[in-house]
Amino acid sequence: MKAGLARALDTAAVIAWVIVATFLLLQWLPGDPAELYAGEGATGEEVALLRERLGLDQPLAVQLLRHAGRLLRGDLGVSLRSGRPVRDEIAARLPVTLRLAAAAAAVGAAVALGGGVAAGADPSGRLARVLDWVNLSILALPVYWLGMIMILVFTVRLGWPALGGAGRWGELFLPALALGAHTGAATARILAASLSDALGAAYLRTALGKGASGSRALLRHALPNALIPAVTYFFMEGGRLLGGAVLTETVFALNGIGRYLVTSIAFRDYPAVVGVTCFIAACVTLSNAAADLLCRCLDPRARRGKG
Amino acid sequence: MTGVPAPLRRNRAGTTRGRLVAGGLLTALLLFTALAGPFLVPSDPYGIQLDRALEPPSLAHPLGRDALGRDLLARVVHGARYACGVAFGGVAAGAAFGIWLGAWAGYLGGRADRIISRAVDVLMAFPDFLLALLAAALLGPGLLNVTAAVGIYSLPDFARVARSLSASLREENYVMASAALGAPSRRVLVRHILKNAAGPLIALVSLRMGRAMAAASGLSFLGLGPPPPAPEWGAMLESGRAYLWIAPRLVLAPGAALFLSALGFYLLGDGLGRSGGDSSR
Repeated sequence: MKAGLARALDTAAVIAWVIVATFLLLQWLPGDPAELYAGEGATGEEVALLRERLGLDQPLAVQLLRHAGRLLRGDLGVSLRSGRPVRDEIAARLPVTLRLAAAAAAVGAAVALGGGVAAGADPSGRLARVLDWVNLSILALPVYWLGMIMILVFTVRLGWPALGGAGRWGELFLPALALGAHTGAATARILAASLSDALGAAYLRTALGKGASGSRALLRHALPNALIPAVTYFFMEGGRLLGGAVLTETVFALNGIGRYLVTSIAFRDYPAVVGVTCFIAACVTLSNAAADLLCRCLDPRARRGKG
Repeated sequence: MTGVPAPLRRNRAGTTRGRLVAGGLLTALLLFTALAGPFLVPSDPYGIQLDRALEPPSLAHPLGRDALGRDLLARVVHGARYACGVAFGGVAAGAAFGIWLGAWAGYLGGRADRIISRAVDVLMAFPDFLLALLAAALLGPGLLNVTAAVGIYSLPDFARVARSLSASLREENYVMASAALGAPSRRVLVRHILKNAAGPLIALVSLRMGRAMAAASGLSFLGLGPPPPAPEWGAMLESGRAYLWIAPRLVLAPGAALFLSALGFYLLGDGLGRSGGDSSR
């Protein structure tokens, strides 16, 4: 309980610093925000008026507090490009990214479980060695190149309908495969390693000695223990999925928040950049905290030891 | 690895050797291409010949020409210089700062540790590629800025690993003895802690080289890399994307170069990590 509270405080502190960091980012980015908001051809008077209205003439500390207050209320600012609240822009694109991340996570979990158990069950076998090389190769494949090869094979050669756009479930198959393969391969390696460690543990010899069959010992005794580090890692990867979505959405022309971030950078739409960044950072920090919590739930030792 | 039966361990040593050899060969090939390749491929990677655009492969131009009639092989070979330069420079910078900060944090503990670890936690809130993307957006395009962005992208991992290695080595008798004999902290850190943490950290350098190459080309792919005529693999992938239907080699060639380079560093790093104990993952 105490450890959980400490973790929650830690998470809150990281989010607070993320807010400060993004505020500084906004300060350091080239260009005067008031002039950017006023648009080209605005007179000096208009810019000065806008600066006063936006509170940009206030001391930095006051601006920071206001910035933090707005963010905590869920106000991510107004997009320079569209003039709409960044929150609405994100909300319009979020379903695509969330669906992509969910589908990729499903692919990743399947790959991780299948590959990890197959390799971990017989760590010295030929299958395990082949799988490990395959996993390393997948990790070395740049996600956007993998995406392009998939488009080449499935759309160009096999004539599947062109992909992308609205991001309905059917259209997400290839992007999710490209994005999830990475997560799956990385997690499969961790699962295989921890499974092969678990197979050497004393409790497994006990289970076998008591007459449990090999597969029962593997699936009921070794796997639940071996899953703990893999599940923790998998949840940490949740954030990586959002980062990787930037490239995947670009390749597959999906209109999600990753692509929104890239186009916002290209258009120097700084409020949008900072808004999306804050949003992703908050998601990642929370998902890491969730991973920690989950690990505590799964592993009685961590609960007793720290609590 | 105490519970692993002996035959299994021997087998693991066998695969480790395979990895080291394959990774070493791929990495040597990359370095050779970067250093000597431009002299061996006589074609000009910048020479635009619009009348010969998208010319298919021939003996003189084994990979054919790109959309502006430039020799594709020459561009891929010259691209190895960009890839190596950015990855080496970025990882060197990230490793230098990251290891230094992390090792101090782990060795000193207390307040210094809290401040440094918190800063690293904040950097890690921007997941993976997003950190490189933000750094590149902040710094603007260009070769040096991309290298700096890759450095920032690499830093948290080095800091994290160096911190945990340093924190556990701090408790070793020889480290405490050295400190008790009055050696200055800086000397203890360099002579005892960093020297003994070198194995896993070198393995991490190799793994991060692969990641750095993917990130740098990803930035170029998004238009945040060195400006256009540069034969950067990511930029070539971006411009070749439009010709996926008629000339897929424009995408296949630079992507394969990128893949093999990253794979070489991954295999090498994995092999080094295994042969030097299992403390890095």
